Amino acid sequence: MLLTEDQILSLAPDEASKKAGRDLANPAKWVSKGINEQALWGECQGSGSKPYQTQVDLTAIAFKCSCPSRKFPCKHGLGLLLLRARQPGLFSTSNMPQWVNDWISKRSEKEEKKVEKADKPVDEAAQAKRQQAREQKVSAGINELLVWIKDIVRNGILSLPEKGGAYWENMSRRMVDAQATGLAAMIKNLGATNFWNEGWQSGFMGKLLQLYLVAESYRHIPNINELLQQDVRSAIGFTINQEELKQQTGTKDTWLVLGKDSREEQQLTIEQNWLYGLNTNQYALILQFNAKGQVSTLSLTQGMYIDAELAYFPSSVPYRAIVKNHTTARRPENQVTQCFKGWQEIAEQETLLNSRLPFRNEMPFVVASLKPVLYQNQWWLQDTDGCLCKITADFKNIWQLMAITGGEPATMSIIGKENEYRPIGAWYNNNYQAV
Amino acid sequence: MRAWEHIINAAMIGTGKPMPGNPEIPGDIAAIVDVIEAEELLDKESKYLQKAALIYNYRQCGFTPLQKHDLLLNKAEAETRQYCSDTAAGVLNTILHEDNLSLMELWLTNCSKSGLLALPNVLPVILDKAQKDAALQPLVIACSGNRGAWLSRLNPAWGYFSVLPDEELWQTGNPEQRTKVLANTRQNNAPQALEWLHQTWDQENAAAKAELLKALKINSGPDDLPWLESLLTEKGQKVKDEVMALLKQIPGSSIVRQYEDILSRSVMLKKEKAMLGMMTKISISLKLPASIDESIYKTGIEKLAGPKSGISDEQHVLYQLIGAVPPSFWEKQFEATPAQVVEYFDKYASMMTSALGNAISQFNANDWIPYLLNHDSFYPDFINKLPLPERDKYLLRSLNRGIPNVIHTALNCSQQWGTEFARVAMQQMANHPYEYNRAFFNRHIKLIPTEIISQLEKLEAKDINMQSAWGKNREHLIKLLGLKQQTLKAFNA
Repeated sequence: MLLTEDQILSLAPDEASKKAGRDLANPAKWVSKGINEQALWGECQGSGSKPYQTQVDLTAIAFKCSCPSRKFPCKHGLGLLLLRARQPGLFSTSNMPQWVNDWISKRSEKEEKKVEKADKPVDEAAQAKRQQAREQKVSAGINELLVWIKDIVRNGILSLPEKGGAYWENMSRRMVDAQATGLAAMIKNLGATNFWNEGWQSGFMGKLLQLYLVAESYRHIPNINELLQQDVRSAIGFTINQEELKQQTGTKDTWLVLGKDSREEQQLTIEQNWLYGLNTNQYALILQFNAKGQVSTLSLTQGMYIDAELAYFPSSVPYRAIVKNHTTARRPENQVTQCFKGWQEIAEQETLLNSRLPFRNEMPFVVASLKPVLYQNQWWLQDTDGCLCKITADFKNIWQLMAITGGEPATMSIIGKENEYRPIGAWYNNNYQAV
Repeated sequence: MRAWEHIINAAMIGTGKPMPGNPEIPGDIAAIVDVIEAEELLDKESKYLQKAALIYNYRQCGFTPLQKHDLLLNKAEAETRQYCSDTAAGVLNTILHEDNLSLMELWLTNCSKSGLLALPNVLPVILDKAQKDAALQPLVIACSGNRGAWLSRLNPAWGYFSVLPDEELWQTGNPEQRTKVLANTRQNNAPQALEWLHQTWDQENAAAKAELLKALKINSGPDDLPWLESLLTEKGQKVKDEVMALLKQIPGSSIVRQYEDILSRSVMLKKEKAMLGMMTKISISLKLPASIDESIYKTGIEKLAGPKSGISDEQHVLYQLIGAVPPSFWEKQFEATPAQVVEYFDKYASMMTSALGNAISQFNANDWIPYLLNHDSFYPDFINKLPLPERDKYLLRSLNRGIPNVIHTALNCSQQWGTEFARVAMQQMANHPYEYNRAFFNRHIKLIPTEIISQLEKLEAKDINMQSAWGKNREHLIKLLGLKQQTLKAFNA
C-alpha cells in the first residue's frame, strides 16, 4: 500500500523527525533501495562508515533501522517511505536482501510465539482473591466519592471556580488509591473545566452526573445486565485481559482510519484511532498507551485502509476494540456505501446509544451530504433536510474544510455528541481527506 | 429544556438552600421522578442527583437538530480551468513544508503561466502566506481560481482578492494602495498617471506628495516637464527633493540644461596640429568657467571632493556634472559618434569615463552600454539592461577580474544566472559559507540554475575549517535545487 505524504508524516514522533524525514526523501541519500509486496528497504549513507539499514514492513506498517536513534519511527524510515511516495519509479521490485529477510521472518515468528504464550495456565484461585480485594477497595473509594459529590451539590457549584487544583487532585488521588483509575480520570476531567467560559455550569453538571451514574451503578452492579456491568467496570478502571479478548471471534472488515489524536498524560502518550468498517458499517476506537520512548505496536495514520479483525471490548455499545491482526489494504473502489443520511438519523442513533449506555463518551459517525454553513456568526454543518448542528468552537481547520468542499455537500466523518460535532475528515474526489 | 435549566439553577444554589420552584418534569419521565421523590431512605442530595441524572439522559435522548431552510446558498462557482497535476501538487506541499517563499513564488509563477490551479486543500495555506507577503498576492489570486475568490469573500483576512477598478482605488484606497496603483498606471499609461496626480495634488499632504512622486520615475519623459518644473516652488523640502530627482533624470529639464551649459564651457575636445601638421594632437580640457551659477550646488552637486577622494574639487564637480547629463550631449559637444566619445574619454580623461557610465544608467542610454562593457569599471545598473548572454559574460568577466561586490550585484538580476557564472560564483560562496548560508540560498534560489546540481559536489571550500559548514550549505542547496527542478518539470517549464 502506498501511503500519502501526509499520512506518512503523521506517523512521525515529532516535528524535528518530520523535517529530517523530508530531507532524507532524496535519492542521493540512499545507497541502495528496493521493494516487494512485504517490505520496503534501503541503505542510507549517514555519518558512520557503514550505511544505515532501514526497513519497513508494508503488510502492517512497522519500522526497523540500524541507526542509533531512539525516536520511532526514525527519520530514515520516514524518509524512505516519503521517497517511495514521491518517486515510486525509483524503487524496483526485487528479492529481499538477507538483512530484510531475517527481520521479516523474525516478525512472523514473534506473532506465533505470542499465541503460544497465551496458552500458559493461570492460577485462578489467586486471581479471584486479588479481584475480591480490589473490589472491596473500589467499593470503599466509591462510598467516599459519593459523599464528595453530595457535598458539591449541597454547597452549590458556584464556589467551585475558587477551589484550587488540589481540590480535584486530592479526590483523584484517592480514587487511584482505591484502584479506580477510570474514576480518577473523570474527576481530573471535571477539574479541567474552563470555569471562565460562560455557561460552564451545564457542561460541568453533565460530567458530574456521568461520574455519579458510574459510581452509583457500581453499587447496584448485580442488578444490571451483564454488558452494562462491563461498561460500569471499565469506566471505573477495571481492565480486561486483552489476550483473552483476542481469543474471541472478531469483526473482520476493511477499516478506514477516520482520524487520529494523541495526547500526553503524565509519562504516557495516549493515542486514539477512530476506525470505520466499510462493509460492517461499524465504528471502533483503538487506544494505544505508550510510555515515553516506547514503540507503538500499531502504526495507523489518517486515511489509511487496513484489512483487520477487531475484537471489541464487551459493552452494551461496542466501540473500543483491539486489533487482532491486520494488513494494510488498497483503497477500495466503493469506500462508503452505507452511512447516516442526516442529523435526524444521527439523533435517533444517539438516542439508541444513550438508552443503552447513559454515560458514554462521544463517538464518530460518517454522514452523507453535509455542508459547512455560517449562521449567526457561527459555523454549522447542514444536511440535505436543512437540519443544523454546530461545529465545535475548538475546530481549527474550518477553512480547509471549506476549501475542500467549496460549500457543496460532502460525505464527512464527524465526532461529537448531541448538537456539537467536530469534523475529522471529508471525502473529496472519492478520496478521504483528514481535516 | 426547562427541566435541565432548573437542575443547573439548583446546582448553582446548592441543595442545602431552598430550591427555586419546582422543575417542569416532562410527562415521559414524571412517573420515575415520583418514584424517586417517594423513596424515604434517600437523602435530599441523592434525590437531586438521581432526578438530575434522569433529566440529563432524557435531554440527551431527546435532542432534535435545529432546522433552517432559508439559509442563503453559498458555494464556490465551478472552475473553468484545470487543476495542476498530483505531481505538481506534491511538490508544492514539500515547498510549503520547507517554508520557502522564493520556491513558492516560482511554483505559483509556473502554475499561473500554465493556466492551471492549485488544489483546493492547499488554498488556506497559500492564501495565508499571501496575506503576509503582498508580493505573492497576484500569483495566489491567479492560481486559486473561483474557489480562492469564494474563500476570500468568506474570510476578511483574505480580502486582497477584491480588486477595485484602478481609478476607484486611486480615489479611495489607502496610501499604500494608491502608491501601488499609481505606479502600475504609470507603467501602462504614463500620461494618465500624471493626470491623476495633477488632479489630486492640492489635497495631498507633504508626505503623500513625496511618496507619490516616486511613482513618476517610471517612464519619465519630456511630457512631465512643464508640471514638474512648476513644482520647484513647493514648500516641503522632501517634495522638492523628489521633484529635483525626477527633473535630473529627464533630458531637457531646466536642471539638466543648466548642467549642460556649464559642461559646454568646461569640457572641450581640443584637436591641434602637431609634427608640422602631419599629426593631430587630441586632448580634453577639463576646467570650470571662472564664474558658475552657484545654484547648482543646491541641486545635489557637491562642491568639495573630500580629503580622501584623491581628486581636486574641480574634478569632483565636473565628474558629477558629466554623470548628470545625457550621453548624447557629448555627441554634439565633441562632434563625434558614441564610440568615439567613449574612446576620447578613455584616452584623454579616463577618470571621467565612469561618470559617463553613470550617465548612461541615469538616462537609460542603453545603446551606449556596449562601448563600456570592456572597461575596468563595473556598472551594476547595466546588468538588467543587457541581453542574458552578454549579462552573464559581463558578470563572469567582472568576477574573474576580482571586482568586489559582483555577486552582491548579481543578486539584483531579474532573471536566472547562467550556468558558468553560477558555478564560479558558487565557488566563492563555498569559501564563505557563513556569509552565503542556508537563509541566503532560501532567498535567492530563483537565480541559481538547476544545471549546476551535478557540479556542486565537486566544489569545496579552500579553507579546511570551512568545509564542514559549506558541506551543510551544499546539501541544503541541492535540496532546494531539486525542488526547483521538480517544479519546472511538473509544469514542463
